[in-house]
Amino acid sequence: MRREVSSWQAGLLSLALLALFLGAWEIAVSGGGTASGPALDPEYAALLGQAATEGGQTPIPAPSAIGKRLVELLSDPFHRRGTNDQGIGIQIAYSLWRVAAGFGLAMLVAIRSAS
Amino acid sequence: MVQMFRDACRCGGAHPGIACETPDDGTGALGRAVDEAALRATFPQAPTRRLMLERYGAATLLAAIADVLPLGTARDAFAQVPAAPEKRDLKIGFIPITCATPIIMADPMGFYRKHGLNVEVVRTAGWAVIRDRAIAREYDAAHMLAPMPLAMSLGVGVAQPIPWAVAAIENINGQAITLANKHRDKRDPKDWRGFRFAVPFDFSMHNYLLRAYVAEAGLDPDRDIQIRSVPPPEMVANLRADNIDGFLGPDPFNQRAVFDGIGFLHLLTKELWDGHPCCAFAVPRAMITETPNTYAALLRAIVEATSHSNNPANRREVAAAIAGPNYLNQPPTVVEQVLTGTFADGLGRVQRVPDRIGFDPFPYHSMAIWMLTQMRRWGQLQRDVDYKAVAEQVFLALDAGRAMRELGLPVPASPMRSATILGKTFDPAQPAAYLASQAIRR
Repeated sequence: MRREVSSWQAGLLSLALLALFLGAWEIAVSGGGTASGPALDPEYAALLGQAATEGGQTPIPAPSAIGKRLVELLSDPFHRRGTNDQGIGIQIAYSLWRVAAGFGLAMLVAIRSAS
Repeated sequence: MVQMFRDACRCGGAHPGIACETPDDGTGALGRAVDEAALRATFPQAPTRRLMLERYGAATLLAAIADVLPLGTARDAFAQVPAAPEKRDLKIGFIPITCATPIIMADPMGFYRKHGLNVEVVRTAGWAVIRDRAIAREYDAAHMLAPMPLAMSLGVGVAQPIPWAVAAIENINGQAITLANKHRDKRDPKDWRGFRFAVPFDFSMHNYLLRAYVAEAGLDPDRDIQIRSVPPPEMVANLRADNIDGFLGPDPFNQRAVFDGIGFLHLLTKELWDGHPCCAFAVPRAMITETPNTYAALLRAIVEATSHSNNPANRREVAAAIAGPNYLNQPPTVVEQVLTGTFADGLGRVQRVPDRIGFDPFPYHSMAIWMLTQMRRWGQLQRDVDYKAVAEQVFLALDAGRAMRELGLPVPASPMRSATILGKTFDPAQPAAYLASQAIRR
């Protein structure tokens, strides 16, 4: 009862499963229902974030929100707007540099003691 | 949390003041570090200083010069026409909260530059980190909770006394008790038995006010509730994850909990003690003697920024200047609600409290005396000290007053004033009687 499955069919199935998962996630966190919460005074509602006005308090962002933020971070990865606001590229570079420096030092010690 | 405090003085004796009276053999080090700067300022030449110390003893000398504190060189720096700062490039650490408004806004709004300084304000993760970097002198000056320089100077919570001073108070009021939404019906602190609360740090007005508030309701803050130190930026996440039931914390995090639909504002600390101090602009005592002109310029910049922040007409502009990613990194409306005092309380009402937070640089000695009574009350400070003498050494009211006068601001006539705290009158001249009147204490 074996049937050959071509690789593009397998890939398609994987993509479909991924889309299904993300879609379910998106729907799950965006629910919570505007209808269920009590009607809010518009002046009061203007002072709250979206999550609070919808009555939900889920801490997990939707995939669409993650995607939006990812585009924001990656569109200008090397900006420097002051000490406390630097691009994600610069931060990763610092991190990589530290790893490389540590590894380099370890290498130096190991090679010298081995020879 | 109390077990970490050690008795500050290892000489074991009772002291009338903070200067340890045991011989100078290195064992009775309490207070010496605090006073070192004072001695240096009065007798700048080391041989003279040693001679005077040998002849009269430290206690006598310190008593004699106590009247002329804050220090001579600093006074000169204020008396003269502003001289060029000895050190222009400074690093100042801050915690991203609205209490730090003057320290932060002085950067984008140009108050440091105006006084000839090139300041880098560095966002820091929590109060313990601020204290570590301050001790390591990685920061030239720092945003601290007002009780921190008192504790550090007395050697409480640190291995040895580290003399830091409060050059100016940053904000008054501006804190709140936030509770998780599920506690909407538990508005009476008597119902809070078993609650887990967060405060920013052991040595904070938040800790002392929360303790005083629940003690007033008959709960023992060490037995009937739990109090944890949590860095302010992590408070909302902890409330969301149900690690805590509430917190007495700084803004914008109270307002952020409401904004995110997680908690509500039980009360503003203004209702506990209207005009209470919270955060301070702290400097190492050595800065006053080593770089007096830098100290003077910095204090002028801070006092001017504090006064600018206090004006209700400037609040929106200030909120816009500090809300961005380089400073507080918060939604602008959250910061604006805190600074303008028109805010959502999390219970469906819009409240209008224009003095929700205020900015007043004057470091009243009486404020320090109250903090010391509370450190004593809860066992952080394990012996009696001369509250007034410590207050005078750490809270530099004279310098702040001088900077305020130069800028044309009204200066209070006395650094001592009584206050109404939780409905009781606090007389700073009678700290022992006040302490004795508290039913629950360690």
